[in-house]
Amino acid sequence: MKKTITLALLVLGLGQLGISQDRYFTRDGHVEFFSYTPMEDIEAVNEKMTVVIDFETGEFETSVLIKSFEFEKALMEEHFNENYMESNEFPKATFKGQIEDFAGVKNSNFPPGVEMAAHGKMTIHGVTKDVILPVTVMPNGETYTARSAFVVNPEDYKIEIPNAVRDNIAKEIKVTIQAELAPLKK
Amino acid sequence: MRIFISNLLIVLGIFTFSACGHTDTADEKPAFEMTSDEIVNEFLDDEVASNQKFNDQVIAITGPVFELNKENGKVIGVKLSSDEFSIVSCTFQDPLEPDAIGEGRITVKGVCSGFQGDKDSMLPGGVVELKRAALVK
Repeated sequence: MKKTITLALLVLGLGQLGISQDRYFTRDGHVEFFSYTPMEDIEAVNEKMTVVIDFETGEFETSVLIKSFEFEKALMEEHFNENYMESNEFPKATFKGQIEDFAGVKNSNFPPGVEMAAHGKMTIHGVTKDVILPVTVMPNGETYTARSAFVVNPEDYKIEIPNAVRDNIAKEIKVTIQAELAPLKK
Repeated sequence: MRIFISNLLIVLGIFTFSACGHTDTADEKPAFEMTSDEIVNEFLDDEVASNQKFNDQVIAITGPVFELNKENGKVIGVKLSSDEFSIVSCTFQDPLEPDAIGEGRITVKGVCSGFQGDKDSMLPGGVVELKRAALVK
């Protein structure tokens, strides 16, 4: 009886504090992209990706500021923002969608590392496309590690590459994401 | 002909300046000096106008330390906030020693990248991001 009351008080207490275990998030997600051509390798990193997953519904959101991508060379960063991504006009890249068959992830018998499909809309450079992203979500103590790797074709998002540097930039840009997701306290 | 010259200039630009790194933010004079609450509120009030006003500018922000971001034993970033959902998130140009930042209010200057926040998002609040940041005091 004492245990039941303690448990009830604990649940009520958590409710009062508004603590929800449904959504997990980070504002420090790692995203990098890589362009390989025989002329040049180009890579950039952004450690400030926002990632949120609702563990009840499988809703999945990511958002990143284009200007927060850091390049080793200042001029590459300037060209990326001003000439290609036009980041003053289109400051963010986002994905909003739903991870299929997500309900079992929190179960202890869920096989780790299983690749799931996130169906949704990706917006880059002001252009929104329906895409399917591969996603893995693995428990890591109190947090979950989410990973995804996919390819973006600049042409699909109306990112124009000048003829003079067309051979320096890959037609398919490899993007990888890794995020440690902690419970969201509302 | 004009296109050819323009393309030639782009190529020359790339080869001439491709080795150049970033300027050192620690040596830059800030265009604005404000608190973490003030800049987040400006972005929440009018994101478009604030993007035009602050993006790419060096800004000095004073605020309470909310969280340190560490990697390999060094501090690579700091979040300034008095509210866990309205944050200025700074990424340091050069990682700091773990004891370089104490508790309480500090001042950091960095290049503003913009604002992350969306009323339709599952994540409430918003974050102003500063890159290539340097600790002022």
